[in-house]
Amino acid sequence: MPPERMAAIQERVTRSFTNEGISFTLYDEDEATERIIPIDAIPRVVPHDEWLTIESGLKQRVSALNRFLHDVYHDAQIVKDGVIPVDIVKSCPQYRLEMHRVTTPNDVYVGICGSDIVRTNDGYRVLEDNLRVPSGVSYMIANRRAVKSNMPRIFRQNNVMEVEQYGRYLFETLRELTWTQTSEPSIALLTPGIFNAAFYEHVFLAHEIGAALVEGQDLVVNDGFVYMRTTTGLRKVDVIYRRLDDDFIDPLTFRRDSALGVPGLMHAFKLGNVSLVNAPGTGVADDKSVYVYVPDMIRYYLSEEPILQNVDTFMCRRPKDLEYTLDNLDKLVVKTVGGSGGYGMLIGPQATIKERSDYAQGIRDDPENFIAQPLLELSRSPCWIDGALRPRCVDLRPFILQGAETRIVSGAFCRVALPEGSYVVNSSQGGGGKDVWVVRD
Amino acid sequence: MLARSAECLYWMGRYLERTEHLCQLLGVQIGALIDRPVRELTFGWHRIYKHLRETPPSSSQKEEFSFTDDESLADAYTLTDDLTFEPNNKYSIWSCFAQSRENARQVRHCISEDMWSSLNLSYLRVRDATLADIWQDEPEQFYVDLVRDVNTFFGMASVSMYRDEGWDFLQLGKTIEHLQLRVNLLAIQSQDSIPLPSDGTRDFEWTSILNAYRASGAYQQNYGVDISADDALDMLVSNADLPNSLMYAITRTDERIRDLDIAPDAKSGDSALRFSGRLKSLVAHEWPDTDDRTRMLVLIGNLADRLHDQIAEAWFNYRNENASRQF
Repeated sequence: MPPERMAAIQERVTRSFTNEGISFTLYDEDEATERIIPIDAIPRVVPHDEWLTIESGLKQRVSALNRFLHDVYHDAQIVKDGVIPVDIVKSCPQYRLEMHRVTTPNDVYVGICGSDIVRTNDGYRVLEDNLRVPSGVSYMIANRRAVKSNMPRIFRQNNVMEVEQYGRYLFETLRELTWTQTSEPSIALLTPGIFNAAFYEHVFLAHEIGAALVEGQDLVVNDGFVYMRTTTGLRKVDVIYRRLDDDFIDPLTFRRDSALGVPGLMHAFKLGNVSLVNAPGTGVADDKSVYVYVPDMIRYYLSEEPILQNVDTFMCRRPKDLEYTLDNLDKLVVKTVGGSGGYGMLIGPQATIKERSDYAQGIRDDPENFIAQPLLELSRSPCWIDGALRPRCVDLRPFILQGAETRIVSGAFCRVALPEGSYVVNSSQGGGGKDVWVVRD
Repeated sequence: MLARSAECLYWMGRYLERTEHLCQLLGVQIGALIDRPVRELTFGWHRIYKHLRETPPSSSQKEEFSFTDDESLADAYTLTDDLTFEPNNKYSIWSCFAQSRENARQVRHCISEDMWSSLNLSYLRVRDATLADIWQDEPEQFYVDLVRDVNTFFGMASVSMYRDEGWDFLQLGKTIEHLQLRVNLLAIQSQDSIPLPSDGTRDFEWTSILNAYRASGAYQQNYGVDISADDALDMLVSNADLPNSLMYAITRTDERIRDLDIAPDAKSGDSALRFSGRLKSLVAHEWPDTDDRTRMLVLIGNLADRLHDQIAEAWFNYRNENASRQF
């Protein structure tokens, strides 16, 4: 394709995002700014056979994670059998005592999972699982719509698999996760509000599944049931797709100062009068210390070998790993176990001596709070930047839906580290996105 | 529909109507800068600010509108900027667009993509413009284009929006805002506290209002070419066929409220119905015979304010204890 044509396509795709207001909110010290998420018009191509491996690996992983969550909040057999040390689980801030003996429809705790996958020299590996409120699926669909409409001929010629059915899959999943499993459940999507970074996505998904987009102030708990305030009175809610962290969902159970949540929500949830997707307490399974044990969980619960491998991880709580980490900070990426969004991590090879020294002190002070991983040679994908094709690091975030059955669309949100030399793909730190074409022969 | 979503749609309608109204007035006011006497211009600015219940920026207030042409032009620039681009002025066009867009962002799932794109593009155009840009050439055209943008938005709504409660609340917000702004403006225009011009008539002032409300043609059809203050006011208040009249807005408001389901706070819902009925009856039966038109306009304005309060109480801010429950 001639450069002028590629430039024109890139310009149109970018403009369509601006015109449609496909945004995220960026926070600095003083204010929140609505930003258009950068999109690169050149899709990332994933061959279908590679995708099948990813898909089956993720289904296996989510199945094991749900089994783990049920187990850890009931008999904790995996701990008793010594597969996972008890202190790893109990010291995790996302482990919620309030979830003890709480069951969920179909024993599903994680209905929606977004796992980050990177392609290394050894194939695809899972970098982390996002099991609380994973975001990015709206950008997957928005990227597809923008690229498809601006490159229709190329799209048609390449036998690309669709992603548009995600909304239908999500609706079906939420329906299967209601206790009544009625054909027309009353669904509410609980958002922290317009100032949340992912608010665009919340609106997008509410539209896709025909849900009411509610804030905490729109819900009320009465006689153990949850109602939303409508223009005709109070209407009972069957299932809440919550995009609010555990800490904030119910001030009577979790953080008392939360003005975003619904007093009494956990009570209604425990009575089985409303479903929460994802369930509270799922964060214990995506803690970076627990992540190390996911392959063991797969072997333990499913008696299978993991299809997708983890990235090698050093747990600073282990003396040997701590020593290795401190001796090799210039070669490692170090993260806090509960961190997200690319914040609070150290990319050793790119850090100054002083930054490494300061970070090392933090690790020594609280080793249990850190893990380290080798700096991966992430796969690079061609991007159209400043009028030319340039390689940039990318990852993949596919979304797995677990209800009575497991569903996954053949596509993902591909995050791109746009600044030259950057390994950080998070949109909050200058990352952008691109469409993913799973291509059948 | 979620009560908060309905409220967002209601306010979206209000802010967009406010935008259109202000653009119409500013378009006429800026057009008048070309050849109208300073006194008329001064009165025009005064009318705009006073009916919004706002005070002009301090410099112009202090000078109380200079009566030399040069100074008045400089002042016009400041005032136009304040009413168009000033983010701290809650009535500026920028603020109205920003507020309507913020409301629209919250209910994107309740409106069509066409409506959202139309509003977002208009907002971006206003956000990226400055008065220096538009003042260079054809500032009037800027306001004409914005009025078209608002009309395009409502046109998009009329062809793409599902006729559920969301539609009703969007339209209700539009008509209530229409009513409140216009009745305030007419009350200011009709009061006697402002000195008469040297020619002893207010003809141009009424002509400018008729132009702003695109009612000049209808006036000529009904009353001929000579502008009479009484006839102009009468038409702008009570002519049910004129889209910019009070009666038109009152009738549409009444229809919308009757179309809505019974309110969760039934008592406030009944009050809203009573107020809209009272407004209709006031304009249809009492307006023609009143001796004190200014007082009557103030009464209509007060009723419109109370109607807004009752709508909010009945459908948006009701007490949970008063509401029925649906399983």
